[in-house]
Amino acid sequence: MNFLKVFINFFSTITLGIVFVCAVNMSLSSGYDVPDSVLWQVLLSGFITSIMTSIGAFVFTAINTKIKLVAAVVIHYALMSVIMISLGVWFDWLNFDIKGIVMMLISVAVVYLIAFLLNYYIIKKEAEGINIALEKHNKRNQ
Amino acid sequence: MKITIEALADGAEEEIIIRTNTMDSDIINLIYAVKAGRNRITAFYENEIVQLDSKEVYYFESVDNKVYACCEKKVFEIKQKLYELEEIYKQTNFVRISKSMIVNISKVSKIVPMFNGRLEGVLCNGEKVIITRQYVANLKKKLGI
Repeated sequence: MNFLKVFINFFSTITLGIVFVCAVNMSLSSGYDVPDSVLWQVLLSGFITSIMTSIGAFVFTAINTKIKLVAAVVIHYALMSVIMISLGVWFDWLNFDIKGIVMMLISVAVVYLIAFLLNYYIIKKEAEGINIALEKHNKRNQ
Repeated sequence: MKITIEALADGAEEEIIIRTNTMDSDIINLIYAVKAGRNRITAFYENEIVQLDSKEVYYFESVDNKVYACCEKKVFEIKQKLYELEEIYKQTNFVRISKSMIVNISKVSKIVPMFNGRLEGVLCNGEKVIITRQYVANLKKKLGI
């Protein structure tokens, strides 16, 4: 149940990030006809990367030191990049050359940032809610 | 439920009598709350046996199969298991926040979000404790969220 909750959370934020990056890329590349299948491709990309991220989240939360956390983020980013480059080649989103790979690395970084900020915002709001309740509780118990 | 309070003569022993038709969970929780409120914890500190007031305890922590009661500055070893303490103090300010820790929420000054998705509790003495995501719901329930 907990994994499902984490997965749904990541799936919504990551897919939103991919849609955003796709929208920007399509706006920048003029004269490109968007096939109907791109919607399924976006959902599949979101699904695969969210599954991997949800598994990774359980490793992330067990990490206690900053160095290990940075290492985990780098490994996770590299893994996401490999997955997205592979899917990008399969879906014909990019040419398998330096330019195509760099563009995909930037796109993954943007999605990563969007997902990270959205998740941090959710946790921050959750902490704020707990702090308000905690303050009330501690006042009552003084 | 009728509550009767009788004033006692000086020196007489205090007593609580519960008259009930059914021993339901509310009554059991009430008994736990009374016992936990009054009970002092037998603890060990530098080869001495001491009696601790549960209100002084910031958190209970299990490390290498030993359980410690951490107060503002001192750490005491206690003989109860963490799950026993969780049961005894479940109707009080104590709440489980990870597999190895039960914290006294009246000693938590604030909750801080961390970048890896976890929450961190900052205690009144400046110490920081990790709240595992699995137990966040526990904490929220205790605070009535």
